[in-house]
Amino acid sequence: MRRDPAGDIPKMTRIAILGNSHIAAYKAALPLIKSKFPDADVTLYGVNNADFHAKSLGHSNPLRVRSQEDAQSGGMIDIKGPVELDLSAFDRVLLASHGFYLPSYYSILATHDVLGLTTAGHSKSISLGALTKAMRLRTTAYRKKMQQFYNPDSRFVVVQMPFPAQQSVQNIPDIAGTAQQPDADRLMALFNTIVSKELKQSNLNYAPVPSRMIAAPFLSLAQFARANDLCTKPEASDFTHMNASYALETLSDLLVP
Amino acid sequence: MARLSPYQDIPAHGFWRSAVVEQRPETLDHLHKPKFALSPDTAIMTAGSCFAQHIHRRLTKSGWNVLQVERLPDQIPKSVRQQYGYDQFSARYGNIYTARQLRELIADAFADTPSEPLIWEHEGRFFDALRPTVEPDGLKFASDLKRSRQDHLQSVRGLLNQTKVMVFTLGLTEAWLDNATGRALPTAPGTIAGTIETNPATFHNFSYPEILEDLKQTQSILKHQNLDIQILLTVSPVPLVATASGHHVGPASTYSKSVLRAVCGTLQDSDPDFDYFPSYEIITTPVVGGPFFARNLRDPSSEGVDTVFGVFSLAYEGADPPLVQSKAVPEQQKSSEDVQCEEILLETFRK
Repeated sequence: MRRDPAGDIPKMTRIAILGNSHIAAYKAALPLIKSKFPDADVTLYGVNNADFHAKSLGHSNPLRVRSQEDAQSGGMIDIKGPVELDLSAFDRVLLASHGFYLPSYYSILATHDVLGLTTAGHSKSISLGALTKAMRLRTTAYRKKMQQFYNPDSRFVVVQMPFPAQQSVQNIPDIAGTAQQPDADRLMALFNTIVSKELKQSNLNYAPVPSRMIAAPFLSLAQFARANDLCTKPEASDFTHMNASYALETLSDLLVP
Repeated sequence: MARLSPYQDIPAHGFWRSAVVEQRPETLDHLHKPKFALSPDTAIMTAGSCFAQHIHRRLTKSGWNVLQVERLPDQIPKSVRQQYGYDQFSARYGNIYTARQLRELIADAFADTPSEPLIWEHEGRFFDALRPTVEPDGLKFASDLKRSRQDHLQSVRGLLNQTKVMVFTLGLTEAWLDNATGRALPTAPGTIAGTIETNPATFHNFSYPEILEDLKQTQSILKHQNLDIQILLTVSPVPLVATASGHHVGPASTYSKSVLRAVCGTLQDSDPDFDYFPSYEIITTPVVGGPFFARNLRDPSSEGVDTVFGVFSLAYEGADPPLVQSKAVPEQQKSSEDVQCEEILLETFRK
């Protein structure tokens, strides 16, 4: 919580949370956040991560989405957030749910042995060297685009995209295959190290998924699945987005170090 | 009118002045007269020395049916794929500089019991001596290397089973042979991995009869597998970067390329399943406005590569001829050495 340097009196902290469909967890958590952090004033703002790859918004302040309809058609959920956002008005800016292309590696890890690690019995293989080099190159490319788009300063924190919940192995073969890699823990550590180093070298604040919220490599604890907070089909099978508890835990780590 | 000379009825493309000095348009489509059909739909396999990478890329980019096995998903950046030997040729065999390498690779691919991999170790990492560049940092375990080679040979077998035409670019006559196995290596031990002390190999400069035999044996292996593959040969125009022959690199290059070119000529003239495409001549001589070398005087220039594919498209697709700039010197500007040459008398029969 931000404190007034003069009187050490807690003041209202204005927090902007920007992100793609994963910010639905923060929207669901708003009442919990208000209760736990009454001085936090949270504003949600939908930005499809594809936008900064396509440079469709460009670096601008205030950020402006073309319309909520456009945002939704780009895969965003309806968060009823503002159409325009002046980032200079916030004490903290959370760039939520950045995966640094992790989901794109699931299909590789589910179908390839990684030479240099324990093999999983797949017919195809890729060397650990090639995989590592690819991750490094693509992480750097992602970071550069993100940095160019947001021009982040010390108020910004890049929040790692949540891993899918444990239940996702039942209906998403690529995630199941990735989690079944014999050295999945080493692969996850490799990815996390590459991303952390990249952001540290660029002086960007980074919040990886806390280990207490991880059930197994590449999988979040089942209790955090968005499906747990839903009672209707087909949304009830949503194991890739997280729920309000997850968002509250993540925010708590950032607000109460 | 009486026929005075056998050169009297030779068309314009048979004369240096009309075909090369004047670059008469009607001569260009005679530069390569294909022996067998090849179209953008033909299943093509590419292999060979560095220049074969140009062929692979250009044909692929132009939409030809260039076969590609051993792929990595698109999520792996192109630069990484290429650094690790993917998408350079139709399979991940790296540069195949000599006819012997090709023969041994294909023999291995169809062998009931492929020969044991040749493994080089460098700083605790393991390299496939038969394609040491495909894993630039080597592999952590020798067992991984064996598995990788096994997968590779299986992929090559699958590739050959789909291939209708193999475009093979001969690069070198000079090679190093592994002393223990006799296998032809793509590079000397110690260049990328291994050392000449612990991985002894012997220098060998393949002769015309040996190369001819290697290509015929390659064909024989394919036929034994009931594969009806036609082979379009080219010779890399890239000179030797270094020679171990003891000679000056210039004459050593000429010797090497001459032997390779001679083998191609023999097979082109004598075997219906072999043909030769003159990319070597296009890059290194003035036949189509060249020579075309980059500033390092070794690599072909992009203009040269464009011209090669212009002639290729003209020959196989009937495309428009490539733009050619004649570099002819004025008539009055004599050569620096005004030598006497009986050949020049043939010019009198030029049409």
